[in-house]
Amino acid sequence: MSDLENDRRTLPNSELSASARGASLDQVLQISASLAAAMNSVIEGKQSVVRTAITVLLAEGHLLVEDVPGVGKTLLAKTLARSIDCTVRRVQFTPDLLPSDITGVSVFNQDVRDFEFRPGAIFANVVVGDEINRASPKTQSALLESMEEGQVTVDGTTYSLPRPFMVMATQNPIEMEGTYPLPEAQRDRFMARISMGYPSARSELDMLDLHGGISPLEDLQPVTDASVVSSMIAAVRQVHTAPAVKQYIVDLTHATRSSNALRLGASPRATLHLLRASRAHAALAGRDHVLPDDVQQIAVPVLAHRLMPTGETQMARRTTADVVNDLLQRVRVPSPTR
Amino acid sequence: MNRVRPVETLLAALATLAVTLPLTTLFTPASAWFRPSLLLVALVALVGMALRRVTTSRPLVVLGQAVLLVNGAAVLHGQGHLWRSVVPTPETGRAFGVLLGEAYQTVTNYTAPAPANRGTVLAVSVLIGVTALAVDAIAVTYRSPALAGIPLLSAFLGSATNSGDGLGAWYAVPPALCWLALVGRQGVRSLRSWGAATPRSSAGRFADPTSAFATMGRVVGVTAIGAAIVVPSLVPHFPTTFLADGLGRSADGRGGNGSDVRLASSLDIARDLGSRSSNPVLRYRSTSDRLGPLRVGILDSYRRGHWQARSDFTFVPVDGRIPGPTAGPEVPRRVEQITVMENGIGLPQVALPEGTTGSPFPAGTWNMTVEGLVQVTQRVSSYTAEFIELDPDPSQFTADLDGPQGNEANLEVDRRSETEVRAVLAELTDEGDTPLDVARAIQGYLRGPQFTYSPELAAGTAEGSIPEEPLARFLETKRGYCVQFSSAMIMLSRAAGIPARMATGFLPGVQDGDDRVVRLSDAHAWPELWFPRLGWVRFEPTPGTRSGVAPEYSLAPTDTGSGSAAVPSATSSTSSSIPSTGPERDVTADDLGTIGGSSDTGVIRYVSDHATTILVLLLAGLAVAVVPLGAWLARRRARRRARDDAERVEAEWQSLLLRLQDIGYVPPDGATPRQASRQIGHAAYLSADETQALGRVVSTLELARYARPGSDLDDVADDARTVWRGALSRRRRADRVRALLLPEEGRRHWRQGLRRLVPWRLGRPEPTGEDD
Repeated sequence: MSDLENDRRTLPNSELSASARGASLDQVLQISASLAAAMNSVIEGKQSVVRTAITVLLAEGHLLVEDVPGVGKTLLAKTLARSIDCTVRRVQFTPDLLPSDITGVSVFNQDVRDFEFRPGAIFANVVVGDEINRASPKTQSALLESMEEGQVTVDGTTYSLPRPFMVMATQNPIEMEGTYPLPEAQRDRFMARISMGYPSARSELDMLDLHGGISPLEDLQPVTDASVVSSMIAAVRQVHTAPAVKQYIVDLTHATRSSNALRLGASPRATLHLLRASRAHAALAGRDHVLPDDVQQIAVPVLAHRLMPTGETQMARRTTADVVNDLLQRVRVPSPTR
Repeated sequence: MNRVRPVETLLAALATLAVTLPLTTLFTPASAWFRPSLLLVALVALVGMALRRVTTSRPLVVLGQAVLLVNGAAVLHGQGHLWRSVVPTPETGRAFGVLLGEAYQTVTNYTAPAPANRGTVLAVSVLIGVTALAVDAIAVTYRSPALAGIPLLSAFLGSATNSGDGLGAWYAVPPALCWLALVGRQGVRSLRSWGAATPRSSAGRFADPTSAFATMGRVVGVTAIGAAIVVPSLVPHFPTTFLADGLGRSADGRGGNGSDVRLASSLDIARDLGSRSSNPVLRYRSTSDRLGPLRVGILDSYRRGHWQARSDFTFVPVDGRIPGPTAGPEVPRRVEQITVMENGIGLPQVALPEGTTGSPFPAGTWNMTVEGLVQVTQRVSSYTAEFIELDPDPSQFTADLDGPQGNEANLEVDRRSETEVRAVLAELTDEGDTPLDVARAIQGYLRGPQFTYSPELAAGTAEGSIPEEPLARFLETKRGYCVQFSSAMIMLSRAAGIPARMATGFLPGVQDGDDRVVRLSDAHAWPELWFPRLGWVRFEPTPGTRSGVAPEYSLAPTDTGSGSAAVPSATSSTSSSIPSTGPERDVTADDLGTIGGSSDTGVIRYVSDHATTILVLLLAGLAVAVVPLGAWLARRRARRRARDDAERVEAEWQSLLLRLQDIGYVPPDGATPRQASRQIGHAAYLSADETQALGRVVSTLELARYARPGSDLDDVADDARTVWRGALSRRRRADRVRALLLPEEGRRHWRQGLRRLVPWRLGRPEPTGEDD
């Protein structure tokens, strides 16, 4: 579909592959390919969603999966978690969920006569937060520090979270009953929001065969482990970003702030997330450098959920994704300056 | 696969040969130049096919053809001046220069048909070869047969307009057919390749997408041919002109043939012949097959370089009949007739052959001068006259003194040049020569190889070594036209004691169907010598086919074998056995150096005469080339200024984008290279190879722009060229020509240069420090 996949530099036999990038980039390519293959074996016909999920994983981001109930949001999150041999926690967000259920709580231990910290659900490599917008904003906010800083502070004591650390949250569209909209600060901490979408008729037919009996998720074997993922993340950090591309990213986020279709533009954190996601996207294409095309292809998932449309935009039934696409058309790719 | 294109090549060669058809009326005999021309055309065609088979580079094919054409022409015409009889040398070039100079001389000195001597054969065959090369290159190698019509038409018009007469319509048919066949074949071919790529619609109306185009093509073709036939038949013929003097003549503005023509009643022999009109003067029919010139005037008094009639006394014979020749009845004679259908000669002159007798005009409308010249007092548009052709025996030229003697005045030698004349005569004659021997010797001398026929006289007396007196000067410079030759023969004859006078009139003209047509350019002067038993007898000292045929009696018997005996005639002049008059010298035979000098001046003169035209052409060529040159310079500069591979790749990409912009492919502003390439590849219908080349260019560009600095980059110049050519070849021809002649890159280059030169034109605001 994307011509990035047809790039001769992504082809395994290309003579360029060995010389143009380090061995770890090869590893990234290989492992992410097997990761994608494993996930695709469970989730039918959602290659691009799977790809974005892996991109976010490699970019050290958190993923928000938003869609109507029953399209496989939780399955996606669980599949990614199950494919990696690491600690996984699943939190079902309900209206009565308390912040301490997430972060953990200090309880008085009679034996040692002292308070003892009981880690909450957040202490895992992969945290699957199901239906995150069914919890009260208070509980949702408990995630803030952990997501941004990879640590939890309870009763004045700061506890580090294991690495890699990724939150995959699913949510129903905010118009649904019994949902609380995610606060902006919370949304901004998710690197990307993806939408599953309904499967195609054919995929749905395949799904009936696949999931009719025993769930394939049960048979899924992890293809990698946490340490490998950490090294992959380190390799992705090494992907070169030319000044022109950085300029382009900044231009894009600036354009969201000055756009009169938006009430709230992208934050500097969004700029940073866009850069990291672009790096991961490039690495997934086997490149050791970021192209403006990488930025363009990852921009909508990374930016759309953070922006707030104006009333007019909403009235015109334009989504923030439409606005971002418009900006991608309008903002010039800067010529390289050396 | 089918790059060889044998059918198209054959058609192109045939078209070239077809446009040479009018040349058959220009240079005779056609066989002399046709064979070398045919060989060169065949050479061009065969070389073209062979080269197209081995290489895809079209300029290379044309270059190869050109080289072999030059070589072929050298082998055909330059034998004796080649290295190992194959390779041309500078000497070949000089020999060609000499031959072409001769060709120029021939073309300027002769009305059509001109003799096909070595110079004209070389010029004609090389021109045909060049035409063949142009047609083959344009129509076959570059597959633009419609454009090939330009060289074809140029060659056709070049020969057609110089034939001095309206050509028959059929001359245009074979070239037109060949050209249409070429165009049609290319059209069918391109439409077929189209049709294969276009899915056939099931709708009946557009069942065959090619048929609509084919029908339109047929309609256009038929209309064009129809118009080409109908329009010329409706529009009256414009006066035809002759290439070399056509420009000079058109300047005087007298294009039409409405006014009558009169020959001057006095002649200044020091003047150049100047422009000669080819307007028809007479149209007539004669029973004689050896008709001499038609006489309209007799000039017998020479004073200070001027000939004029001594008296203007006229009378009417008592019996109302023109007396006819004064020769005795013992001279063999034939009675012939001439019928003039159209007479364009003004009063009182009238053209009649020598020996006219009887009463061709109504009584009271004519009279005679004492010299025996008939004049008319009323205009006659047509007349029939009888005349007597004498066929004298050499013995009858003896000076028997029983006939009436010539006027004493006709023995008068011009005093100012008498010394020179007598010196020449002394060389030519011996004691005891009969008057006929003397006359033959004089004529043979003047027609001999030392004299050059030229409408322009030799240049002035820079060194003072050339005499001022025109006749003496002619004897010194040996260069002149009929008036000088005749004057010299008259004075030499008078010096030898033979009375002589000058007759003016017209050469017999050219055959046109059953009639003969005399034009103003056929005006001629010749001497008449008095022999007591024969009367006034015509001689012909002027060499070349622009003069009349020398009468039989005036030629020395051939068995004497003397060089002066060899005299060309209109029919035999091309025979190579005659080592005779100026324009027909054999270059390879002898003294190349001396001849080379004189003929080089012909080339130089040609250049200096047409300096303005050549300058304008050069400037036009320069003007056309200036923008492409700018583009080339800009590319070269960008490549040179690039400090590393990345900048080189970037420059290559920018250049490619600009060039694609010339042919209308503009990627959106600020698109990524990938997006741009996707758009261009889609819009330009690039082939798989070209798309791959574009992919390589873009990949390398991305590495150059976005990868870590210092990585190894391929050279993308070849790939960029492939893309550019592919995109260009799919555009309309007009776009291609515009893109090649006016590339934006070149315009930008010159604009920038101009801006550097004249910065104030920019209107750049002065820096005021208001930047904040």
